[in-house]
Amino acid sequence: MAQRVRDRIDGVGSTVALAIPADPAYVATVRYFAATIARHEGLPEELTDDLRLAVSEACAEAIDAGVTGSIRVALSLEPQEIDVEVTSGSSQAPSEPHGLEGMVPIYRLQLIRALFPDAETDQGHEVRVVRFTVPHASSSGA
Amino acid sequence: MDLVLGSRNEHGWAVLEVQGEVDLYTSSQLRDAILRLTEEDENRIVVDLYNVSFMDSSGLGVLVAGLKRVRERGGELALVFGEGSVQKVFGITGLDKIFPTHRSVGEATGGA
Repeated sequence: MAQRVRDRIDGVGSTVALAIPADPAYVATVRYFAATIARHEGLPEELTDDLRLAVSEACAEAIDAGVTGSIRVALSLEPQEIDVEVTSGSSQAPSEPHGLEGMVPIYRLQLIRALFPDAETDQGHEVRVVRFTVPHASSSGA
Repeated sequence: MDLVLGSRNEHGWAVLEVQGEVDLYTSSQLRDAILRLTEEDENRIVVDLYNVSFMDSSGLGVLVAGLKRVRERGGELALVFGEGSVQKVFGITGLDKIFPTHRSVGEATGGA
């Protein structure tokens, strides 16, 4: 079934990818996408929750930064891990925080690193990337 | 997907019940609900997150700001959540040490 999902969504080898507009309304779609793939790959529920949170934060971080265009979330399915890459275009003016949340800073990348310590970011002039690895082996008790 | 929000008074506390997923898109609804309560001079607020299935740092930011706002007025903002992903995100960030947290609304309001 996992193979069918891969073929349906991307059709390219073992990488499953989804692109969404840089719009907060679409971030939930990324969470459902990531959770579906994680469950098909047999990740335990707690790790699936962590993946869901991390991809959601990565997309939200790009939107906070004022990225326009699309955000691409790619999950490369390896025997021992899932490599996650969230890629977006260059950022324009950051969106203005308002109301209550403007009173406190939000640390999205730190939260991703707390969940997946190998998380790294590449915030170049043209492209912003957040990468991290989900250790798949834990699902088999290894 | 919208949040489902409802408020009531219980044992001298304003209880804000939240259902759904709190993220960048929906956190403004939570923000507006907390602001509305504070504007109504509610200084003892319980935010019931028991039926929240997902929360990211957008939601945390709104809650921390709400806590600051009510404490500046001499009040308190307490949280209710069960075990699971919401509890974990508060644990990872250490915010479970900042907020009064409870397992039920009754426990939070002293009505249990």
